[in-house]
Amino acid sequence: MRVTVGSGTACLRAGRTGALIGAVLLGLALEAPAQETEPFEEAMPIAPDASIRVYMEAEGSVRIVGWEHDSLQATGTRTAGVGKIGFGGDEGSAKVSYWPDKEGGTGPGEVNLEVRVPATATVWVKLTTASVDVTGVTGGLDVYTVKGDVRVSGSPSELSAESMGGRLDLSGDAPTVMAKTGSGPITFRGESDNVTLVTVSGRITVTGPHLKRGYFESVKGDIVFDGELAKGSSVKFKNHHGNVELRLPETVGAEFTVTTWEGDMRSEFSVDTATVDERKGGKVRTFTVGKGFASVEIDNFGGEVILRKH
Amino acid sequence: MTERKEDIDGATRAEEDLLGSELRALMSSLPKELSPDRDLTAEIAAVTWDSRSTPAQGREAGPPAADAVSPGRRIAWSSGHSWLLAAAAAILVVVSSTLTVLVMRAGDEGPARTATAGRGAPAAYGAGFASAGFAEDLRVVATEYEAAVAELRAVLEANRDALAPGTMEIVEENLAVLDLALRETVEALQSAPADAQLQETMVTTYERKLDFLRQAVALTAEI
Repeated sequence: MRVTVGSGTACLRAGRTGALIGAVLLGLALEAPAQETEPFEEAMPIAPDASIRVYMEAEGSVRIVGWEHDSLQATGTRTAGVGKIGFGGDEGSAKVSYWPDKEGGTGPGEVNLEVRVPATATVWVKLTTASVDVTGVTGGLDVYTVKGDVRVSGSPSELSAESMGGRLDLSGDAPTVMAKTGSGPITFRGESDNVTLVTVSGRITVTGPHLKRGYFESVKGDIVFDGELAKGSSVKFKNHHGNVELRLPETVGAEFTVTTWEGDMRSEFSVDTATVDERKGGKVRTFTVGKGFASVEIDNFGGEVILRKH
Repeated sequence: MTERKEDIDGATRAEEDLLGSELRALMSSLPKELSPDRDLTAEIAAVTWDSRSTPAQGREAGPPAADAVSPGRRIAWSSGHSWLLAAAAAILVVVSSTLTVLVMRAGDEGPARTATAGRGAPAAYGAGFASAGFAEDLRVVATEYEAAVAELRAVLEANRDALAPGTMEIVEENLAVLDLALRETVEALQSAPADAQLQETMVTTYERKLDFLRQAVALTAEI
């Protein structure tokens, strides 16, 4: 990161003593470890339906923006003298990449990159620790990070996002959404025909969706669904240790099948007519709320199932 | 284009080599068609999760499978590590084949049986089951999964230098969570071995384990 010495030195104008102290402090600041950055800028023409890959092994961030031009542009900064940046391809496919100099002992460095792609292009992104923010892509989008956070907004034709350690924040109206994390939370806001969200220990939060089909699974994290269930829609929730909480409108119409083992179920909706199938150590409840146009299946081993009105 | 074709051919050869003649013979003896007696949409969605050839092709919501290396991902993410990904794929093909046999026979004959030779299931899986038949079936499934997990771990260990710092810690943390869930599920199965949902939970949790290892292995390959 470039060290910038700017204003904010009014206190040092008090006199020679102040100036001397200021000079000493400035000297100390300049001695602190600081890495110089250097700018990066490349561009090339590319087809609107091109396949574009972005690969980066570095700290930092990547911002990907879909735009209405038939060109690919990458701009940003990177730690000077560390790693290699690649940029190239042809009209049908291109790649923007960064590799660290693993043998040089300089570390991965930091890269902050903005990549502008044709909105309708198909885009793959694979990063290690850097975070990524994608907007305006209407073609297919596949994002994968090791620890970096992922944020996607807009309407990709289909979206796949995975992170082992980072968080996923997805919003928009992609027809199909597939997302998966290890420990990071997943948040989805928007509408979709098909949504599949899976995590091991992260929390899943789904807000305001208009879903046709949904599958939400966690092993340890809570799952919270706050939205509407469209007529004919089908959603399934599966958890092991976390809770499953549904916040639904009073007028909801759905058929529920709720299976619990060690946990229990609480409901603000009437479940007096529920059929209960007691099993060894488990319980399966089947009941209908309202007209029952949607199908809801919940399977929770150790956590609670909570049905709330919103 | 040439590189992509070589990747596919190499992966296919590796899968064939690792399957072995016995399993290939067993697979070829299976019927070509079976009519499902229930809605298989979720399972199909699971299979197609990673089977796309582009980032996006018609998929429906459902549990993603631990498909180690789908054709799409193999093409998309391959480089000099394609052999490694192919090996991971082959391991999971073996597991999937065994499960297919179990499921098919279970549909016709009640408690499932399998001809696959076990490699010595962990003592925790199967011991103490009330029903010997289901216990044996579950032990076989667990054995195959544990073997696949062990092999993927070995692949990962051999390539851990290629992983970003901290990746193994993330993998281990999540595997620990999944192991706990597995232990609890197996304990519950010991008193209710025929419970389909518990069986599904066990399989799903194993799939997650494999999925994590598959993800980690894929991390060693550049796109």
